[in-house]
Amino acid sequence: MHTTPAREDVFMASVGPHYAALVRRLTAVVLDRETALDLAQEAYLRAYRAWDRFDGTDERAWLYTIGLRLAFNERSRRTRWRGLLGRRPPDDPWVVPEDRGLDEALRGLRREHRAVLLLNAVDGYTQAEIAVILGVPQGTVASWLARSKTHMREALSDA
Amino acid sequence: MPEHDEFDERLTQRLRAYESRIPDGEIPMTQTQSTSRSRSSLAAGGVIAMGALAGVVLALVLLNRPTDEVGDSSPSPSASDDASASTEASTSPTQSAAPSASVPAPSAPTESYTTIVLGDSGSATVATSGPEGAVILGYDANGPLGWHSPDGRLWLELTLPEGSADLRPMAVVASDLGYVAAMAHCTNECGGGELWYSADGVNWFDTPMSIAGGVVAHLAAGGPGFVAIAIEPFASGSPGVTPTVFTSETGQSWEPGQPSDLLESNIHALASMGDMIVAVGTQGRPEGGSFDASWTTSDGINWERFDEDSDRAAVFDLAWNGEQLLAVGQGSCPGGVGLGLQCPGEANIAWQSADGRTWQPALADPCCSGLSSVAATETGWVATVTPGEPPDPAPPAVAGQVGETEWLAVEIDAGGELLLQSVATHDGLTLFVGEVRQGDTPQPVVIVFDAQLP
Repeated sequence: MHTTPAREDVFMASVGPHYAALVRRLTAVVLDRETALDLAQEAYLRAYRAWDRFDGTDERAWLYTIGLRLAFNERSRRTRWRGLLGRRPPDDPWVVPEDRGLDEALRGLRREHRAVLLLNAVDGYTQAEIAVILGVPQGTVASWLARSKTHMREALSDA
Repeated sequence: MPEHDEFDERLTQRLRAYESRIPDGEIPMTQTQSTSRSRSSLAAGGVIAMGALAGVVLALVLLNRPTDEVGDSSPSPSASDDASASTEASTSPTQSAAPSASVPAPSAPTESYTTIVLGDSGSATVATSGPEGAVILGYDANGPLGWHSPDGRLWLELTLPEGSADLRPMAVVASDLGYVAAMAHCTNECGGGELWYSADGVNWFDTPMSIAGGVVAHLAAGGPGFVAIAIEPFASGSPGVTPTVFTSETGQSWEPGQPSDLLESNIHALASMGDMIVAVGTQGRPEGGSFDASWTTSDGINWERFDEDSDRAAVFDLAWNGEQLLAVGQGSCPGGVGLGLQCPGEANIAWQSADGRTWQPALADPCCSGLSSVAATETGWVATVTPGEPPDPAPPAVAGQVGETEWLAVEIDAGGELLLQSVATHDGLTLFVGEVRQGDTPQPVVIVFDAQLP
């Protein structure tokens, strides 16, 4: 007898395998593990709520779309409330201590630039695809990508 | 060009290796674990959309429970008789086990708060906690409204003293002596009012003390018993003007006075600090202008003033947690031009003091908002945020600790446009009160946080 898989099962099978990559990607973009875990969880839950509207073409890009946009919005809120007493936030610990040079170079980029660089260089998305993922014009993506590569080239050559 | 390609290729390989070394980690799946992790991000200044994380939109449900059911939870036999309405909270979503050890279950919630609509229309504006339960006061077009809860979760609408429809609650406090509310007559402006008393938070009566001129805007439970201060709108701090101070040992009978120590003072906020009462505000100069000051008193009659050179432009609330005072409001812009609302940079919005005499900045906001109400929790502070001009990204409330570099933005999904007016704590709960709009009509609301804030 044929049974239809539950909605949760279908979602898990399709999107679940990309969750670990989402956590790593968000960590690389926000350079803060706790924030990335929060964002990944919220992105995942939002994806589940919107699962019925997903067109089914690229689960990873879809999940990145939700997670990265959350990451961009989260920063503007998170930095609003700063206390003056006591210490300022300490320098972030290394995300990947094995490659501190790259870690430091990435910290010199804005989140949006890091995201574009990773989507292009690591995932191989085109600028047009990245524009769709991030919801910005393709020209903006081209500009961000050029700036990020220039920065990385300078930062890594100095290292 | 080959150099570019070579660099790009090396960068790609290095980025892939970099990302592959980032651990994906265990994602909390149970409610307890999830809450714990959220708190750790609090210390890191993370934003937690608590309702949103639950994966549900909290629906507002107004249920009319039978009054006898409400009465069972009331400490007063008369409460059920007086009850004209009861409320019901939105419920937490169901949980399901996570099907994978590395992925959070889609429906795993972090249910941290409950939204309770207290009535069909109106606004809840002030709240307090006392030995007989928590009390919320508010108003609608017909006059003042009130609610009582023995536990902070089940709320009973009160029958309040009869009075004119223009009475608005300005403040409410409680101690072992009972509950006191300051009410003011408000149309376009406020003037005159009444002081109400309740021994149990449920049965209220109008005390013989009526205020003819000023507005009793500040109340504190402490010192002689209770102290209330009536300010003169648009005149406080002016030459020759002294605020009227009402003192009471019981809350039921009051003595007015105009302490000479407060001549030309403009009191912004009042709070008890142990056996003392502390006021913050500004002191008018004989030659014009004013400077920041604070005052302490043990009897409400004799006040000692401490002058300051601070950046406080307005203090909206003041609270004591047993060790520290926290004043919240809006500061002047760095450089002394304008209020924080128009600041190009950070302006202070909270100040702390250990003795009520000297104050230090405790929190700043880059733009747009101040803090309107504050309460002490067991572990820190919670404060409501003064809304800025839309589209204002500020959260409705924040929570944190003095000395922390960032405070948590408390996000609340109340099912409509939410305006918080005040915050109080009761029996480990945090109670945000205000109004929620789903259309043109505001409804009084209390948001009950079960989770520890901050």
